[in-house]
Amino acid sequence: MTPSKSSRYGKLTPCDRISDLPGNIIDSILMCLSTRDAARTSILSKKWRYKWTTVPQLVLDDTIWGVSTESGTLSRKKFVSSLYQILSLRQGTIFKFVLSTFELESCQSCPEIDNLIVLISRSGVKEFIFKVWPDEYYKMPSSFFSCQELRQLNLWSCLISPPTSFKGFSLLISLKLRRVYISAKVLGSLISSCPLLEKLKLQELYDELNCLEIIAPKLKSFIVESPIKSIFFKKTPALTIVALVVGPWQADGDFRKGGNRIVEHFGSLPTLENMRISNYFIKSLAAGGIPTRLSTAILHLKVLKLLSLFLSDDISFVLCLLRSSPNLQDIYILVHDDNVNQSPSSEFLGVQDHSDVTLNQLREVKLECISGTELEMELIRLLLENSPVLEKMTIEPNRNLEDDYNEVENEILKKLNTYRRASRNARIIYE
Amino acid sequence: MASKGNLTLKSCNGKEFIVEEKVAVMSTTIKNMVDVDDSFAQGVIPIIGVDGKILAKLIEYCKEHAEADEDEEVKSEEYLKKFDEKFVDELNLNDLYDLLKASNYLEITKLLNLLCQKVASMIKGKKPEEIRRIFNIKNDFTPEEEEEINRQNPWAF
Repeated sequence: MTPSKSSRYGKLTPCDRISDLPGNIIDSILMCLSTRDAARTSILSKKWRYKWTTVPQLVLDDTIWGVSTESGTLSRKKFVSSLYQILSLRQGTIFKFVLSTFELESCQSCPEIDNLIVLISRSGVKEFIFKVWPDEYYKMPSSFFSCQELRQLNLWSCLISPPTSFKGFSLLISLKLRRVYISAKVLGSLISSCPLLEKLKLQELYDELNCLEIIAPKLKSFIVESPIKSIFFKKTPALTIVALVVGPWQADGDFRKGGNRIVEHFGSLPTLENMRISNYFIKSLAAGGIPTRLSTAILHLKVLKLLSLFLSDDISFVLCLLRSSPNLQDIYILVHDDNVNQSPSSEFLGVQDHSDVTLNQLREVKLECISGTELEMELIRLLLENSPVLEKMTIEPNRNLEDDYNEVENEILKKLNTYRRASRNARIIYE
Repeated sequence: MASKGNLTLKSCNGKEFIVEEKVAVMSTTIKNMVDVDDSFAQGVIPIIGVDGKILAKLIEYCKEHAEADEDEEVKSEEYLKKFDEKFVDELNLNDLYDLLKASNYLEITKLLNLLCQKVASMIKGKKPEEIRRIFNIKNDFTPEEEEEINRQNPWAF
């Protein structure tokens, strides 16, 4: 690489070297810019005029329309005319496609978007991100299902109903669906027809799904933030991260009939390392009855997060998990703040001996929204007594207590002092 | 001669650098050379078209990142982010070009992405005249042509 004269001597006319960089570098630079900034490079010089039109991505987002929309909504006419201006200049493959605008005027059908997707489906697209109309839905046209090169798919507010000839996305690695209309059956078969799928995230699906069956041999991460009455991990030998989280406000499932059977669940998750689960799904798992411990221990589980926990309902689930996960390193528990007036669980208090719980690897515990109820304190005692290498336990009190706050705090601290600690080095931090 | 586990890289102006193999193979190009031909692993690997100053910079970058890949705890993500920021901030325009081309040729993808981000940040949100001034780009359009480009992409200007 010969340094330009300007770098040596600094006084000669500095020369332009950026314009002559290899095409793939220019593409990478332009892909780091918004479409608007990229298109504005067309006016720099003749060499730059059409560079932005051949980058292998098409990102249609609010940087194109947002700036100038005064009313807050993007009229269909304006959307279509800028779409035409951009597409008529474009050339070459499109590996990444993004259509993202929440401002577009709503319409029952939008043939321009249908046609756009036909174009994209013929461009070898690998990454497909579609977010339009947060409160309505767009029916994915059949051409979408022919995108056979897809690696990443991220859809918002769509209706997904593949044609009968659909054979799956054979190369898909990551699938995220949010506010999507899809039936449990279609979703299950979509998942099982993507043999390379590693990441799956489901958020705020429109309907509460009844029963989702998962066959995904390569799946590593499964995150659900949407009510699903029951989930069957039929074939998920590689799953390491599972998050099943639904706020109590999001659903009120009735699990008395059917529901999951916890034993079946965890028996099919041999590689589970990290689990986050909230009350909704605990109820669902508990509906089939909870054993003292699982027949197969969850040997690889290291991190456990339990969210919006109702201890009076969920304590047997918690105990079952603790007994069955001997290698836990990190526990986080967020108690639901409505938890104060609970009746003590007879199971927990009746059986004082929890020596069958051994948490030999547990290093850190964090408990949030603690009101000092008998159950909470018993759980804390159990954790302290059975964790020989515990380093740190953080307790955050419930700030919404009606009773005298200081009195409750005193009670908690007094009790904490009387508990035996299996680990000499355990620090207890009360915040 | 490099000892076992080390490789010798030679710049186009004859400077030699002995580096650990794990550092050198951050470059896919070098990795492929070593994998295919054993003699490279023993002898000297010529890095065509990259001078000593730029090669030293490349090695500095690869060293930090190779160590971080090996042990996440020693070098956290945050540490690397700070290192990256400092690394690109200290570059003058000519070094930036040379590193872009060298990391492209040597296929050091992470570094290439970092440098492209840097150039993009120098373009982002700026007026055409400013961008031309920063990169010494000569405007060779006639006013009529400029007018035409503005008409073609009214949404962008």
